[in-house]
Amino acid sequence: MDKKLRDLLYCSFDSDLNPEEKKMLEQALSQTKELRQEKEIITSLRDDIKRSKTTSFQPYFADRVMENIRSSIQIDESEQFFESLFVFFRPIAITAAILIIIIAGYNITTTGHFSIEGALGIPEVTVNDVYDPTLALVTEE
Amino acid sequence: MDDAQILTELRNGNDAVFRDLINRYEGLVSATIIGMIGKCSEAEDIGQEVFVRFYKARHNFRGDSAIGTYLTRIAINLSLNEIKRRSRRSQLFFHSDDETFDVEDKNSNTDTDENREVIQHAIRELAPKFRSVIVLRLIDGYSTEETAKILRVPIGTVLSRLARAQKKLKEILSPMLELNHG
Repeated sequence: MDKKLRDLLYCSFDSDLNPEEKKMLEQALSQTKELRQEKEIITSLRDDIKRSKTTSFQPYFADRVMENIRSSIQIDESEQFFESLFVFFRPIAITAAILIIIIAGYNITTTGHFSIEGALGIPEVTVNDVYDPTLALVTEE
Repeated sequence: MDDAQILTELRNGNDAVFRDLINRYEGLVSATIIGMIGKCSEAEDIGQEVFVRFYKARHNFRGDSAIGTYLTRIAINLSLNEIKRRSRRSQLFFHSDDETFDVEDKNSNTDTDENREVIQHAIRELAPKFRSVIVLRLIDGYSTEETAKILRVPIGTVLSRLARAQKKLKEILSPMLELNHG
Protein backbone atom coordinates (compact mmCIF):
# COMPACT_ATOMS: atom_id res chain seq x y z
CA MET A 1 0.00 0.00 0.00
CA ASP A 2 1.25 3.50 -0.89
CA LYS A 3 2.63 5.15 2.24
CA LYS A 4 1.33 8.58 1.25
CA LEU A 5 -2.20 7.25 0.75
CA ARG A 6 -2.05 5.43 4.05
CA ASP A 7 -0.95 8.61 5.84
CA LEU A 8 -3.75 10.52 4.14
CA LEU A 9 -6.22 7.90 5.30
CA TYR A 10 -5.08 8.23 8.93
CA CYS A 11 -5.08 12.01 8.65
CA SER A 12 -8.63 12.05 7.25
CA PHE A 13 -10.02 10.82 10.59
CA ASP A 14 -8.67 13.76 12.59
CA SER A 15 -8.35 16.72 10.24
CA ASP A 16 -9.89 18.18 7.12
CA LEU A 17 -8.02 17.26 3.95
CA ASN A 18 -7.75 19.84 1.18
CA PRO A 19 -9.92 19.15 -1.92
CA GLU A 20 -7.00 17.71 -3.87
CA GLU A 21 -6.02 15.27 -1.10
CA LYS A 22 -9.66 14.35 -0.56
CA LYS A 23 -10.10 13.50 -4.24
CA MET A 24 -6.88 11.48 -4.26
CA LEU A 25 -7.97 9.47 -1.22
CA GLU A 26 -11.48 8.84 -2.55
CA GLN A 27 -10.06 7.63 -5.83
CA ALA A 28 -7.62 5.33 -4.07
CA LEU A 29 -10.33 3.97 -1.83
CA SER A 30 -12.52 3.10 -4.78
CA GLN A 31 -9.63 1.32 -6.49
CA THR A 32 -7.73 -0.38 -3.65
CA LYS A 33 -9.35 -3.13 -1.62
CA GLU A 34 -6.49 -3.13 0.90
CA LEU A 35 -7.00 0.57 1.64
CA ARG A 36 -10.74 0.06 2.09
CA GLN A 37 -10.05 -2.76 4.56
CA GLU A 38 -7.57 -0.55 6.42
CA LYS A 39 -10.22 2.16 6.66
CA GLU A 40 -12.77 -0.33 8.04
CA ILE A 41 -10.31 -1.64 10.61
CA ILE A 42 -9.32 1.84 11.80
CA THR A 43 -12.97 2.95 11.98
CA SER A 44 -13.80 -0.12 14.05
CA LEU A 45 -10.74 0.38 16.25
CA ARG A 46 -11.68 4.00 16.93
CA ASP A 47 -15.26 2.99 17.80
CA ASP A 48 -13.99 0.30 20.17
CA ILE A 49 -11.69 2.80 21.88
CA LYS A 50 -14.56 5.28 22.29
CA ARG A 51 -16.72 2.54 23.81
CA SER A 52 -13.95 1.54 26.25
CA LYS A 53 -14.44 4.81 28.15
CA THR A 54 -14.88 4.42 31.93
CA THR A 55 -16.65 7.44 33.31
CA SER A 56 -16.80 7.27 37.07
CA PHE A 57 -14.85 6.57 40.20
CA GLN A 58 -16.33 4.76 43.19
CA PRO A 59 -19.65 6.10 44.61
CA TYR A 60 -19.59 9.23 46.82
CA PHE A 61 -16.52 10.56 45.04
CA ALA A 62 -17.61 14.20 45.56
CA ASP A 63 -17.92 13.61 49.34
CA ARG A 64 -14.38 12.24 49.49
CA VAL A 65 -13.02 15.20 47.52
CA MET A 66 -14.76 17.69 49.83
CA GLU A 67 -13.36 15.87 52.87
CA ASN A 68 -9.91 15.91 51.29
CA ILE A 69 -10.21 19.67 50.68
CA ARG A 70 -11.32 20.33 54.26
CA SER A 71 -8.35 18.42 55.70
CA SER A 72 -5.86 20.04 53.32
CA ILE A 73 -7.22 23.49 54.26
CA GLN A 74 -6.62 22.69 57.96
CA ILE A 75 -3.05 21.64 57.18
CA ASP A 76 -2.53 24.81 55.13
CA GLU A 77 -3.84 26.96 57.99
CA SER A 78 -1.44 25.44 60.52
CA GLU A 79 1.44 25.79 58.04
CA GLN A 80 0.47 29.43 57.49
CA PHE A 81 0.44 30.03 61.27
CA PHE A 82 3.98 28.68 61.68
CA GLU A 83 5.12 30.58 58.61
CA SER A 84 3.73 33.84 60.00
CA LEU A 85 5.44 33.13 63.35
CA PHE A 86 8.70 32.65 61.52
CA VAL A 87 8.21 35.88 59.54
CA PHE A 88 7.29 37.81 62.70
CA PHE A 89 10.18 36.56 64.85
CA ARG A 90 12.92 36.68 62.22
CA PRO A 91 13.64 40.46 62.55
CA ILE A 92 13.55 40.15 66.35
CA ALA A 93 16.04 37.25 66.26
CA ILE A 94 18.36 39.13 63.90
CA THR A 95 18.25 42.30 66.06
CA ALA A 96 18.95 40.27 69.22
CA ALA A 97 21.92 38.52 67.56
CA ILE A 98 23.40 41.87 66.45
CA LEU A 99 22.96 43.32 69.96
CA ILE A 100 24.68 40.29 71.53
CA ILE A 101 27.64 40.68 69.16
CA ILE A 102 27.91 44.43 69.90
CA ILE A 103 27.74 43.89 73.70
CA ALA A 104 30.30 41.05 73.55
CA GLY A 105 32.63 43.21 71.46
CA TYR A 106 32.27 46.12 73.86
CA ASN A 107 32.95 43.87 76.88
CA ILE A 108 36.05 42.36 75.26
CA THR A 109 37.49 45.79 74.44
CA THR A 110 36.78 47.25 77.93
CA THR A 111 38.02 44.23 79.95
CA GLY A 112 40.92 43.50 77.58
CA HIS A 113 40.39 39.72 77.86
CA PHE A 114 39.61 37.72 74.76
CA SER A 115 37.67 34.98 76.55
CA ILE A 116 34.09 33.91 77.22
CA GLU A 117 34.20 35.68 80.59
CA GLY A 118 35.52 38.80 78.90
CA ALA A 119 32.76 38.69 76.30
CA LEU A 120 30.14 38.22 79.05
CA GLY A 121 31.62 41.16 81.03
CA ILE A 122 32.64 39.06 84.05
CA PRO A 123 35.75 40.60 85.71
CA GLU A 124 38.83 38.35 85.91
CA VAL A 125 39.20 36.76 89.36
CA THR A 126 42.71 36.39 90.78
CA VAL A 127 43.87 34.12 93.64
CA ASN A 128 44.24 37.18 95.90
CA ASP A 129 40.60 38.12 95.25
CA VAL A 130 39.34 34.79 96.54
CA TYR A 131 41.96 34.14 99.24
CA ASP A 132 40.85 35.14 102.73
CA PRO A 133 43.95 35.49 105.04
CA THR A 134 41.86 35.15 108.21
CA LEU A 135 40.72 31.76 107.06
CA ALA A 136 44.37 30.77 106.53
CA LEU A 137 45.22 31.69 110.16
CA VAL A 138 42.44 29.50 111.47
CA THR A 139 43.73 26.61 109.43
CA GLU A 140 47.29 27.02 110.77
CA GLU A 141 46.07 26.72 114.37
CA MET B 1 -24.53 27.84 35.12
CA ASP B 2 -21.60 28.72 32.84
CA ASP B 3 -17.88 28.67 33.73
CA ALA B 4 -17.74 32.38 34.66
CA GLN B 5 -20.70 32.06 37.06
CA ILE B 6 -19.22 28.90 38.59
CA LEU B 7 -15.92 30.69 39.17
CA THR B 8 -17.62 33.69 40.77
CA GLU B 9 -19.54 31.41 43.13
CA LEU B 10 -16.41 29.41 43.97
CA ARG B 11 -14.44 32.56 44.73
CA ASN B 12 -17.24 33.63 47.07
CA GLY B 13 -16.80 30.36 48.96
CA ASN B 14 -19.91 28.55 47.67
CA ASP B 15 -18.92 24.93 48.33
CA ALA B 16 -22.25 23.56 47.06
CA VAL B 17 -21.32 24.84 43.60
CA PHE B 18 -17.95 23.11 43.87
CA ARG B 19 -19.71 19.85 44.70
CA ASP B 20 -21.86 20.29 41.57
CA LEU B 21 -18.70 20.96 39.57
CA ILE B 22 -17.18 17.69 40.83
CA ASN B 23 -20.30 15.78 39.81
CA ARG B 24 -20.33 17.51 36.42
CA TYR B 25 -16.68 16.81 35.56
CA GLU B 26 -16.10 13.50 37.37
CA GLY B 27 -16.83 11.60 34.15
CA LEU B 28 -14.33 13.58 32.11
CA VAL B 29 -11.60 13.42 34.75
CA SER B 30 -12.10 9.71 35.45
CA ALA B 31 -12.12 8.85 31.72
CA THR B 32 -8.84 10.71 31.29
CA ILE B 33 -7.08 9.19 34.29
CA ILE B 34 -8.39 5.63 33.84
CA GLY B 35 -7.54 5.87 30.14
CA MET B 36 -4.00 6.87 31.06
CA ILE B 37 -3.20 4.61 34.03
CA GLY B 38 -6.02 2.06 34.16
CA LYS B 39 -8.67 1.34 36.78
CA CYS B 40 -6.69 1.16 40.00
CA SER B 41 -6.63 2.68 43.47
CA GLU B 42 -4.19 5.40 42.35
CA ALA B 43 -6.68 6.54 39.70
CA GLU B 44 -9.15 7.77 42.30
CA ASP B 45 -6.38 9.40 44.38
CA ILE B 46 -5.25 11.30 41.29
CA GLY B 47 -8.87 12.20 40.53
CA GLN B 48 -9.23 13.71 44.00
CA GLU B 49 -5.94 15.56 43.63
CA VAL B 50 -7.17 17.10 40.35
CA PHE B 51 -10.17 18.68 42.07
CA VAL B 52 -8.20 19.70 45.18
CA ARG B 53 -5.66 21.49 42.98
CA PHE B 54 -8.38 23.24 41.05
CA TYR B 55 -10.06 24.33 44.31
CA LYS B 56 -6.80 25.78 45.62
CA ALA B 57 -6.09 27.54 42.31
CA ARG B 58 -9.60 28.97 41.88
CA HIS B 59 -8.50 32.51 42.75
CA ASN B 60 -5.64 32.40 40.24
CA PHE B 61 -7.58 30.68 37.44
CA ARG B 62 -7.91 33.30 34.69
CA GLY B 63 -10.47 31.41 32.65
CA ASP B 64 -8.39 31.44 29.43
CA SER B 65 -9.57 27.89 28.85
CA ALA B 66 -12.79 26.11 29.84
CA ILE B 67 -12.86 24.58 33.33
CA GLY B 68 -13.18 21.09 31.78
CA THR B 69 -10.09 21.63 29.65
CA TYR B 70 -8.14 22.94 32.65
CA LEU B 71 -9.16 19.92 34.74
CA THR B 72 -8.20 17.58 31.89
CA ARG B 73 -4.76 19.22 31.65
CA ILE B 74 -4.19 18.67 35.39
CA ALA B 75 -5.44 15.07 35.06
CA ILE B 76 -3.10 14.35 32.14
CA ASN B 77 -0.08 15.87 33.91
CA LEU B 78 -0.73 14.00 37.16
CA SER B 79 -1.26 10.76 35.22
CA LEU B 80 2.02 11.25 33.37
CA ASN B 81 3.73 11.79 36.75
CA GLU B 82 2.19 8.54 38.02
CA ILE B 83 3.40 6.68 34.90
CA LYS B 84 6.94 8.03 35.50
CA ARG B 85 6.75 7.03 39.17
CA ARG B 86 5.66 3.49 38.23
CA SER B 87 8.37 3.25 35.63
CA ARG B 88 11.04 4.27 38.18
CA ARG B 89 9.64 1.78 40.68
CA SER B 90 9.51 -1.03 38.14
CA GLN B 91 13.15 -0.34 37.22
CA LEU B 92 14.08 -0.57 40.90
CA PHE B 93 12.08 -3.65 41.82
CA PHE B 94 11.64 -5.37 38.44
CA HIS B 95 7.85 -5.16 38.73
CA SER B 96 5.47 -4.70 35.86
CA ASP B 97 4.42 -1.02 35.69
CA ASP B 98 0.88 -2.01 34.76
CA GLU B 99 -0.57 -2.23 38.26
CA THR B 100 -4.24 -2.19 37.51
CA PHE B 101 -7.07 -4.23 38.90
CA ASP B 102 -10.76 -4.29 38.35
CA VAL B 103 -12.91 -2.56 40.89
CA GLU B 104 -16.18 -4.43 41.22
CA ASP B 105 -18.89 -3.01 39.02
CA LYS B 106 -22.39 -4.22 39.85
CA ASN B 107 -23.73 -3.26 36.40
CA SER B 108 -21.09 -5.22 34.56
CA ASN B 109 -21.80 -6.92 31.27
CA THR B 110 -19.18 -9.64 30.83
CA ASP B 111 -18.56 -9.45 27.05
CA THR B 112 -18.52 -5.68 26.89
CA ASP B 113 -16.31 -5.51 29.97
CA GLU B 114 -13.87 -8.05 28.53
CA ASN B 115 -13.57 -6.05 25.30
CA ARG B 116 -13.19 -2.83 27.25
CA GLU B 117 -10.48 -4.36 29.40
CA VAL B 118 -8.60 -5.63 26.33
CA ILE B 119 -8.76 -2.19 24.68
CA GLN B 120 -7.74 -0.37 27.87
CA HIS B 121 -4.84 -2.76 28.31
CA ALA B 122 -3.74 -2.19 24.70
CA ILE B 123 -3.83 1.59 25.23
CA ARG B 124 -1.63 1.19 28.30
CA GLU B 125 0.91 -0.66 26.14
CA LEU B 126 1.53 2.60 24.26
CA ALA B 127 4.26 5.04 25.25
CA PRO B 128 2.81 7.89 27.39
CA LYS B 129 3.01 10.53 24.62
CA PHE B 130 0.97 8.31 22.26
CA ARG B 131 -1.37 7.23 25.03
CA SER B 132 -2.22 10.83 25.92
CA VAL B 133 -3.31 11.76 22.37
CA ILE B 134 -5.49 8.64 22.11
CA VAL B 135 -7.12 9.37 25.46
CA LEU B 136 -7.75 13.04 24.73
CA ARG B 137 -8.87 12.66 21.12
CA LEU B 138 -10.77 9.38 21.14
CA ILE B 139 -11.85 8.79 24.73
CA ASP B 140 -12.46 12.36 25.92
CA GLY B 141 -13.57 13.47 22.46
CA TYR B 142 -11.48 16.64 22.23
CA SER B 143 -10.77 18.06 18.78
CA THR B 144 -7.25 17.85 17.37
CA GLU B 145 -6.75 21.58 18.12
CA GLU B 146 -7.94 21.19 21.74
CA THR B 147 -5.71 18.13 22.20
CA ALA B 148 -2.75 20.15 20.91
CA LYS B 149 -3.55 22.99 23.34
CA ILE B 150 -3.90 20.66 26.34
CA LEU B 151 -0.60 18.91 25.59
CA ARG B 152 1.06 22.17 24.45
CA VAL B 153 2.35 20.62 21.22
CA PRO B 154 1.74 21.62 17.56
CA ILE B 155 -1.29 20.17 15.74
CA GLY B 156 1.02 18.35 13.32
CA THR B 157 2.59 16.51 16.26
CA VAL B 158 -0.84 15.45 17.51
CA LEU B 159 -1.77 14.13 14.06
CA SER B 160 1.43 12.16 13.62
CA ARG B 161 1.21 10.74 17.16
CA LEU B 162 -2.40 9.74 16.54
CA ALA B 163 -1.48 7.95 13.33
CA ARG B 164 1.42 6.10 14.96
CA ALA B 165 -0.65 5.23 18.03
CA GLN B 166 -3.45 3.79 15.88
CA LYS B 167 -0.99 1.72 13.85
CA LYS B 168 0.48 0.34 17.06
CA LEU B 169 -2.98 -0.37 18.51
CA LYS B 170 -3.96 -2.11 15.29
CA GLU B 171 -0.94 -4.39 15.71
CA ILE B 172 -1.69 -5.14 19.35
CA LEU B 173 -5.40 -5.68 18.79
CA SER B 174 -5.17 -7.43 15.42
CA PRO B 175 -6.58 -10.77 16.71
CA MET B 176 -9.65 -9.01 18.10
CA LEU B 177 -10.09 -6.76 15.04
CA GLU B 178 -9.73 -9.72 12.65
CA LEU B 179 -12.37 -11.58 14.64
CA ASN B 180 -14.78 -8.65 14.30
CA HIS B 181 -14.12 -8.37 10.57
CA GLY B 182 -14.24 -12.07 9.79
